[in-house]
Amino acid sequence: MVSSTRASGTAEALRRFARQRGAVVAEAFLLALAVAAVLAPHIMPANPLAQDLGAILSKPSAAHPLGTDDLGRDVLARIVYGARLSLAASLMAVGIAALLGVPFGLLAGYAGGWIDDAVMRVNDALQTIPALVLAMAIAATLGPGLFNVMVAVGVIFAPRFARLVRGQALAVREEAFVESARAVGATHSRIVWRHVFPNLLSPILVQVSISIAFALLAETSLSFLGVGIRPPEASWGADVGRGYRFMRRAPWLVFMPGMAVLLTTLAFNFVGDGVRTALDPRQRYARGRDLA
Amino acid sequence: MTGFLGRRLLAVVPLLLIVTAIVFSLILLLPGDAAIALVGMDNASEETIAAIRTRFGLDQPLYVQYGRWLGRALHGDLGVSIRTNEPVLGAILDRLPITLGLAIAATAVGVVIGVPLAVIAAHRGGLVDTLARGTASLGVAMPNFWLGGLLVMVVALELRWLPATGYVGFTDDPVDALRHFALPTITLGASAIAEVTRQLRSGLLDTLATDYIRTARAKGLGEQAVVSRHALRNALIPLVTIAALTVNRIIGATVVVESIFALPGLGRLNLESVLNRDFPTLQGSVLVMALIVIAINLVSDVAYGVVDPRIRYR
Amino acid sequence: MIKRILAASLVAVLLAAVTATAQAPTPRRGGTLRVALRAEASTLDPHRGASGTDHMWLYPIYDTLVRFDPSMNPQPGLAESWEAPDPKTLVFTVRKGVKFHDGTPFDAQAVKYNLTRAQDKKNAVNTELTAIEAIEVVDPSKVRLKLKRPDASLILSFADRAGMMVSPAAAEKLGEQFGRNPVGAGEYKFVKWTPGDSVRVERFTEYWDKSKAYLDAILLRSMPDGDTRLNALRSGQVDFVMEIPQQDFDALKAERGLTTYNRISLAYWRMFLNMSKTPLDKKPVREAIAHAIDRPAILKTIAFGLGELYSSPFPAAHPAHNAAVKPYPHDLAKAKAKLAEAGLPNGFTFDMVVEAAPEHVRRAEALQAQLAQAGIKVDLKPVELVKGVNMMFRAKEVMAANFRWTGRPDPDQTLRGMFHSTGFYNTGQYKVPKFEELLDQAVSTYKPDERRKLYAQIGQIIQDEALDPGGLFFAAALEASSTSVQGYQPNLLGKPIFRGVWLTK
Repeated sequence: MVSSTRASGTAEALRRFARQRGAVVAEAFLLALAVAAVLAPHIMPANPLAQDLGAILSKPSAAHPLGTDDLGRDVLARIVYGARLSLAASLMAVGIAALLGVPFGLLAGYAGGWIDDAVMRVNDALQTIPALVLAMAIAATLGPGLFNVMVAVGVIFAPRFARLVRGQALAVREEAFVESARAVGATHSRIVWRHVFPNLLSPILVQVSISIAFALLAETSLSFLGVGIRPPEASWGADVGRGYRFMRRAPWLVFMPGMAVLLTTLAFNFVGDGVRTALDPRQRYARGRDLA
Repeated sequence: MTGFLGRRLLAVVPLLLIVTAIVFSLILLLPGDAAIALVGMDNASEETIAAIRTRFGLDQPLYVQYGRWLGRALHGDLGVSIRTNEPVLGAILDRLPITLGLAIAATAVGVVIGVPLAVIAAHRGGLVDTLARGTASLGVAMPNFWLGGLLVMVVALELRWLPATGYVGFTDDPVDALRHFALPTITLGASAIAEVTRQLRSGLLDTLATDYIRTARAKGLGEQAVVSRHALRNALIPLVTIAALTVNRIIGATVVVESIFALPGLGRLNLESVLNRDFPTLQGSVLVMALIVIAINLVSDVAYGVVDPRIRYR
Repeated sequence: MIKRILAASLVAVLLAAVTATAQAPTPRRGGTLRVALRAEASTLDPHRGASGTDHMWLYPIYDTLVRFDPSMNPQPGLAESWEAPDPKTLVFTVRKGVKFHDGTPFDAQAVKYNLTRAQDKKNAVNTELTAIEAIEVVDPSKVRLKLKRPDASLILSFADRAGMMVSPAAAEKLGEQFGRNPVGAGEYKFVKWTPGDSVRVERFTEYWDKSKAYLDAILLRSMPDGDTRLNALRSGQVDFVMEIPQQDFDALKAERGLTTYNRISLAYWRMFLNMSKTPLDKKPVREAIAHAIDRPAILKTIAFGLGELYSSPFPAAHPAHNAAVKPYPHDLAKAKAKLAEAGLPNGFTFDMVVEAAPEHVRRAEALQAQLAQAGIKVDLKPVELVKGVNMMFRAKEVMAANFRWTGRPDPDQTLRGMFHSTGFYNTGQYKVPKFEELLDQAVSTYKPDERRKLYAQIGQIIQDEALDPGGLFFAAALEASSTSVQGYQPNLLGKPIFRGVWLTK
């Protein structure tokens, strides 16, 4: 039923999204941030890596609108460039989460039986270990680097996708039409493709938009703890971590990048809520573990 | 009821086994050689390293190591820290009260402030609701390390009302202990408040829209009674779940907060064991954390079952 | 008349006041010194342990055969005197009438027991005693060491772990548990260890040297966080703190009620290089590195000026320092010229590990940026410390490491370890024959003056051959105490010893 009205469904969804002011403003902010991040070399005169050992920890001034850090590097430049790392990390982490979670969820829901049992038990176990702890262990194990952090964060969000997809696949499997489709010779993959997937798209999209905010928080927390740093690149979490020791002399080192994280996470949250409302108005006040 | 409890307990066992297996297999990927960690930076002969390796059983195949570890763990022996040579269980038990205390205090803050906030928001709507929603959104988006830093900067460094870092035992000096615990609790509590408010509010609004509430209103019950007697009671069911979820999330967040405020808790132990390649301690501490989460989930499920009889027969 | 009496009495009062303050305060007995240290002891067994941070916990409990003065010159300890009748024989005469904390008498037999114990291959400290072939008890207070080769570094080794004397009776009885229940012959006897928190030691009433034992007890506490340590000092929870964060030190000096100590230590930050890998094996390349680094800037910004510029592997206060060797000047043009000379006009790339904590990464980044200006690109790899040590010194996977050389009591240990072709820290086994010849000479003579001359020559060779182009600066040991702590003297090793400390009030 969704497939036939999909085209108009999208337009309707977009309209519902546009009606929410918070989400629209947030979306605009994110787009601006993304553009700034991509165009950083062209719009930022200062080099985030350029050290000036004679001017460390200097206050905001004309030359450095947000001051300099503990090696004399321009804080504003580091925040703008840091956006690249953080945005890329969170997007890709969620991508990895979906890539890992969706197939397993499909497998579990569709195949059922002991496979379902096994996959869901592993899923539960993964969600039982506190998220940050697991991510930290994985990232530290794999070693420093952006990719490893993304994998670690991806792994902790994968169970949510798996559970979501499994539910959908399970529901479809129960339908009578599957029996008849099999009777006329439809392969499993065809059934999955034509009947399971279409219903999955919007829940997955909702889950993606909700997860990005938390993925960003997770990645910055890991960088703050010192796991996964790849100096001397600019990274919001790592910059806050490094600035902590100088809080008395230069509080802006902690305050500014932290503010960037806060605003971006907030924006992602608003957009996520907006997407959720747009795609599923009945679920307006959603609750429960799955969509957390 | 006992059947329900029994069934839930039984379900925990395979979960625990898988958790331990996951944690153990993680260590497999550790590229550092733990035996060398013991000897320190000074040059050690190959013989010394080999002797230490044998002593800790690091030369056995992985499944043998896992089996041994599991067997000992069942007897309460979580091994010995590679760094300090102290029993892991002892180190964990020393630090557990701090982390648990922090988590419970923060959750309590979350519930005590979040529930009234959610009720008022759902009840009054309008500006109050928007404010509550806004604050909740802010609280959820705020990184712990930023809020902690802000609090330290303003309250500890500028105003000097509370100490910035460190831990004082309750038995040594209760008042000073509370002072040292204040900022960490507020930092963690902020996100707890946000979580509780958000979830409870949406739960309340949902319930308020249902049929039987409409019936209650139609019956002529005042708005106050409707909210407090009917909606709240039903929304309190998920509150148990929400509180459990919040504690779980906070346990993970203690890694960051304990780091910022230099509290010698389980989260900090975890971080150190990861950075030091101290895998007996890492395994032990992750296991204990998972146990706490499982215990809390169990309690909340049972409480849920008590409150809502429909659940018991599942 | 009255005026004169008044004036006279005023003068008298003033004189009295002046003389009173001019007199040095007399040491007072009693009190517990509470110390906050960064890292907890790994074990209180001096032979078993290997961590450089254990020493502060060990010094109060154990006396050593040899002591050192604040400038690292050997002094008599439990050994009254020593002599070398021939280069391969060392005879130590030990004090009489000394007892261990459990009453066991200390004598030559105990020394033999201890040295044999230290030599056990399980113990990391055994590497310092490899020259010893046989240990003979000549009489109850004389021990003769027969050596495979002359080794003057043994003297100062006996001022460190290898010379810490444990009670043979207790060691035998307790076995593996000895590290938790130490028994030595030091000024203080062990009372209690609360793991993760503190160790308490109390004055040993039968200690042989009554002249300087003032304190009743010492409480050693571990507080890993620098801010927490400082706050504990400020709030009066502890009396003495070591390893103060550099960025906070200057502010501390202005605070009332606190005494700060700032003394250069033997430890210095440097780049360990694998000099057998191209192009680090070429001298001009190493000289280029040396000139590309702006050491004064690094000292000022990374260490906030609290240290001494590197010119040779020993600081100015150390006997082995050669004042004629000057720090490499910061000269980008020269650096580039040297690179061209080596056939690398466009520079080159190499990888370097560094400890992953923020303060270490910061230093490495500064270094990286400076080298980049000369066209030398550093691929920085922050890793956990032990992993980094493994990668650099055992697996030899990387070309450089930015670590600290923590310093050793004897100069031979430093030079041999880092620059001799057999040295563990000389990855790549780079060999300079003249250097090795002089090094062996210097360790074979027991005369301090001869050794000093030889080490001066060695220092020159190190600079001529550019063997240590990445030497940065000597770290100052930053400590602070409340003003009630008197009589503390920092030493060059950077590890506080509390002998002779007393408390006012």
